[in-house]
Amino acid sequence: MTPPVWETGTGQIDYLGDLTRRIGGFVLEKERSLVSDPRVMDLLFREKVGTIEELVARLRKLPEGALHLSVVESLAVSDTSFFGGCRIFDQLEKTIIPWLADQPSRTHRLTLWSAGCSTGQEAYSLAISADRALANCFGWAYQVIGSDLSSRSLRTAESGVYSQFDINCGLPASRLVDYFEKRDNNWHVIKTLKKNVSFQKLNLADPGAPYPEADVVMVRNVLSYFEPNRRADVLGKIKRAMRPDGYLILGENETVDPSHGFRADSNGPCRLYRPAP
Amino acid sequence: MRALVIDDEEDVRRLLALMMGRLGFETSEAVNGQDGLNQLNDPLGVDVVLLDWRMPVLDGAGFLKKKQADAAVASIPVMMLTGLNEMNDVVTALELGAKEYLMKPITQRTLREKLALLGFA
Repeated sequence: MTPPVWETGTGQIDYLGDLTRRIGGFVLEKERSLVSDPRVMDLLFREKVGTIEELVARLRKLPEGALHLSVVESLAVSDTSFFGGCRIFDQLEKTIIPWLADQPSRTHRLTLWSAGCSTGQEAYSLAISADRALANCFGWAYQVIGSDLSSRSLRTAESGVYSQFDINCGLPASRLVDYFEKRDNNWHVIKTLKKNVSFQKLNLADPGAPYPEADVVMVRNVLSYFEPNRRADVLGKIKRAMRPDGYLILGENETVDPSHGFRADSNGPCRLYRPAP
Repeated sequence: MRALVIDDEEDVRRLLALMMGRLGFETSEAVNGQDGLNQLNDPLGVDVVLLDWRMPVLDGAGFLKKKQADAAVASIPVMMLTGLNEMNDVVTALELGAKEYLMKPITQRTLREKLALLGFA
C-alpha cells in the first residue's frame, strides 16, 4: 500500500506537526491519511494550492495568523456521528440524567457540554438524551453547549442541517422521527430541540480559554491526541468547571488516572468518571 | 447469523449480500415482499430482514403487515431500506413494525451502525 500523505517530505510533516501541537495542542498522527481527508482537500482547494508541500511552503513564508489556524482546524480529527457509541447515550438517558435531576442540590437545570463537538452530532445526541430523560420531570430544563476549534465545523453544527449520509450514521429511527424534519433534501433538527443547544468556538488547549460550567462533560476521542502535560492541564480545567457531582465521559480507549482528579465510575465502552473529592 | 434481503433490484441484493457477508452474516435473497414471506419460514431461521420499500407484487408495507400478523415470525427484526428518503415512509414502516431504517446509498459503515442499533454488534 502506498503511504498516503507521507509521500510529503518529513520536513513538511514536522512543520505541520509542530503547528498542530503549538496552536491546537494535539499530536498529528503519522499514520493518518491527509490526502484522503476531504477537509484537508477542501483546504487545499480553498487556498488554491495543488499539494500539501505547496501549502507548507506558503505557511512558512507568512507570519503566523489566520491561515495557520485554518490549517490546524482542518487537521483536527473529526469523525463524528449521531449517538456514536450509543450505549453511553442510553446510560445518560436512563440512569445518569435522571439521577442528576433527583439530586436536591440542583435547581431544575442541567448543562451538558460536548467538548470537541465537530459538526454537532454529539451535541444534538446529548440534547435528545436530555430531552427524553427530562420529559417527565416537571419544571426541569437543560442546555447543551457544543464547542470546537473549527469555525467551519461549528457553522454546520449551528445550522442543525444534516445530509442523508449523516442521518444514516447511527441515528436510531425513533429519534429521527421525533427530532428531525425533512426539507430540501436535508434533515433539519427541530426548533424545540435546537433552542436548547448552543455552540461556541473554544480551543481546549488555550490556557486562557474559559470552560463552561457543566453537569456532564463529554470529551471523547479528543484528549488522546494531546501531549501528557497538555492533557493534564485540560483535565484540571474541566474538573474546575464541572459540578462536583457531575460526570466526565471519555472515549472508548481513553482513560484518566487519579492524579488528574477523577475517579472511574464505569469501565464500559465509554469511560465514565466522577470528580474526585 | 442469517439475513434475508428483500429487494427487487438484483444489484442492490448482491451488494447487500456482500456487505452483510463482511459483517459475518449468511444472506439469502428475495425479489419482492411475497417471495420474502415465503422465505421467512426457512428452517435454518432468519435473524434479521433488510426490506426495500417500493417493490412490485408485494411492497414493504404489505410485507410488514403480513409478517407482523404471523406470530411465528413477528419478532424477527426488520430494517427498512429506502431510496426515497421520505419521512412519511419511515414513520409508516415503524408503525407497521420495522425496527430501523437505512437510506440508500448504503455504505458498509452505515449498515454496520444500523445493525448495531438492532443489537448485532
